[in-house]
Amino acid sequence: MPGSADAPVVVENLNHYYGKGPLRRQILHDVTTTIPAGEIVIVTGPSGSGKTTLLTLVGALRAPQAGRLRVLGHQLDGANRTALENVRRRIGFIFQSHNLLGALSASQNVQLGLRVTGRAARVELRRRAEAMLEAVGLAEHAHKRAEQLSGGQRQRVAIARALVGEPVMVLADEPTASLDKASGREVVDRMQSLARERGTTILLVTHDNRILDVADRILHLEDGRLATFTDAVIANTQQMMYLLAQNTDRQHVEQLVDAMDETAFRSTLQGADAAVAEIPRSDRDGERRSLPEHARAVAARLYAPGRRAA
Amino acid sequence: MAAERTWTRLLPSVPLGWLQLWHKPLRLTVAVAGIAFAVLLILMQLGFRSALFESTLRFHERFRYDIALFSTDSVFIVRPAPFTIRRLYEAMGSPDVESVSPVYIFPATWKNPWTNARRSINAVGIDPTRNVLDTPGFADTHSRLVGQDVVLFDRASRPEFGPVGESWRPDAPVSTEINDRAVSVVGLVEIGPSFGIDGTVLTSVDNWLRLFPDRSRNQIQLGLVTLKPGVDASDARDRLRSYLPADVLVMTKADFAAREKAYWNGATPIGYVFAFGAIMGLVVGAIIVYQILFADVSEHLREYATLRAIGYRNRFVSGIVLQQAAILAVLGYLPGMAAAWFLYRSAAHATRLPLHLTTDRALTVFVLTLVMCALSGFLALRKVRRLDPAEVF
Repeated sequence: MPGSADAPVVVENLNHYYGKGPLRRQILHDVTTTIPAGEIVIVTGPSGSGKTTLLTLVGALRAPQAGRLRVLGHQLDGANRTALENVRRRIGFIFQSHNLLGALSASQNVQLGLRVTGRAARVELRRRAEAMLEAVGLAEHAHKRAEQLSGGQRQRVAIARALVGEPVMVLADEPTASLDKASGREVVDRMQSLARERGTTILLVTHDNRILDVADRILHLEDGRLATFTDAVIANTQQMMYLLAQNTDRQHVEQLVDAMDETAFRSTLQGADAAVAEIPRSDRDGERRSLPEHARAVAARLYAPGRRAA
Repeated sequence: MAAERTWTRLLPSVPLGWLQLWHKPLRLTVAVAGIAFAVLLILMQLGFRSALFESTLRFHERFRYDIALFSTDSVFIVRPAPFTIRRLYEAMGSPDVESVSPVYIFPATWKNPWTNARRSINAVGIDPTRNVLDTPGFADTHSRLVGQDVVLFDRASRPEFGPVGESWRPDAPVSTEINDRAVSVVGLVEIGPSFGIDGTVLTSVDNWLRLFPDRSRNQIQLGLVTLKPGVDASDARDRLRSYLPADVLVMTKADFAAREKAYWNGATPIGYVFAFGAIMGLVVGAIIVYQILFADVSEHLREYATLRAIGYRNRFVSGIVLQQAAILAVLGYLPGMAAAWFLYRSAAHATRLPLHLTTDRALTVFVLTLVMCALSGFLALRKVRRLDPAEVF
């Protein structure tokens, strides 16, 4: 792989388990990947696929159990707590909920993100925090507490807190989950532009397909196994198509039922029975997944252009 | 650069603990009120405890003597057992001794001349020709006791004896009855009541024996021994002990006070009750602080986990909690101290006990408050220490 020696994240055969004894469950299976510097990598996958576990391992929030994990030049497998803490200080974290300190102003929250790096003088903290807030478009809200800000503004404060220390890498877990489409977009764009300016590596876990376009690379996790990018696209497309099919079918039937009188409804029912009978038995007993296709097949037979006009 | 880093960590740019407390003003108020109450409780208990000792030791400290002779059967100064005056004369035979003076002590019944109510008063008989008592008013008045049926009244006695101190004039002496014998008050002194004594009258030995006709001049309750100049009291005590029969206690001033103190502290429940009260105050305070801090930690667990996740060390988060404990200690101490100062004054006025807020006690209680809050802080910290930063995701 290109530049794997100085890549910020190198994962090799990483396995992770939760629980003990008979309850022990494997969360990550043999995950191997490399994230090159300056890339925006999005990790997708259904709930419980191990995305967050992977993120917490890369973020040095958990000690690796089996396999090799190198983050920002530090070997995390076998590292002690202090070493993990030192790595954490060089990473900017953005959480699903903003996790701001309620008692503090936006500026003070951002200062906390800078202070932990130990790389800014006391007198500089405030100035730099406020410059960062300005960069995320919250200059006039610096003195406000979290409860006085909207959801999108809070998440932007959280981003400012993550980025103010100029981290080499940013880890974000569902940063748009609690936001509407517009503020979610804005947050992601801010992250992208701020990261691009500084060449920051971003690892982003999300369910949100609306933001996939910012990624240089998409990793797809399914049951703790890393799938290829193509697999991920196919999985995503399948899911989208499935949702689309379900949705149009539902709308279609509703519109039809609204337009029907009693006679029409009866003949439709009879027609439907006949249509179902025409479908090969093996298909009828097929998996749940193909149900929308059944419905589509039935609909196609019922409302073939000729019949619909009549 | 390294020095600068240390600075940054040592001096918080944001006083987080204070902001966390200030963010919940109601809880802060409750916490401060609780600690103030605990401080007040501790100060009052300690105040009464020391007033107990101070008041019971008044006679031990104010009589002028180097060595006291006291019956081995006496438990404390209020109802001392008699012993033979011969021991005092025997002590006089010692080359260390300059002079001796007998003291007769027993409770008598005083009639309040205004209400005719009768009440037990401490009657002390002394040699009126000698200035044996170092207490305000005594030096000028003790010679008046040579007259018959006259007494000096302690103006700091409890008010139940009547407003003698307020109404007495040299030209208008107060007359009343003690043990049903007519006496007149010819002067005022100031001694003060204690937990065992409500009031005191001083009189001559002759008058004292008139009040207690069934008592003998040969049976005294306290012997005061004055040593020759330059004689060490402890050495003289040891010599007198071996010299006198074992039916009297031979004690220096310090021994005598210590014996009385040990009685009140150990043999009566009173000393214990006050010590217990002070400890209860401490426990109540500690529980309040713990509750407050625990609630605060529980509520901010997510925030603290976030701080740990972004790289702050455990020490930093613990520091926030301990900072809150220290702030609560100071904020609670100040109103508690103010309330105690006020209550000391009104209690001292009501009980006429020697209640005063000494700097020493104020400092002790401040340290106790800090310890109490720190202890609760450390208890509340156990939750912080178990924090898993991975859980914020």
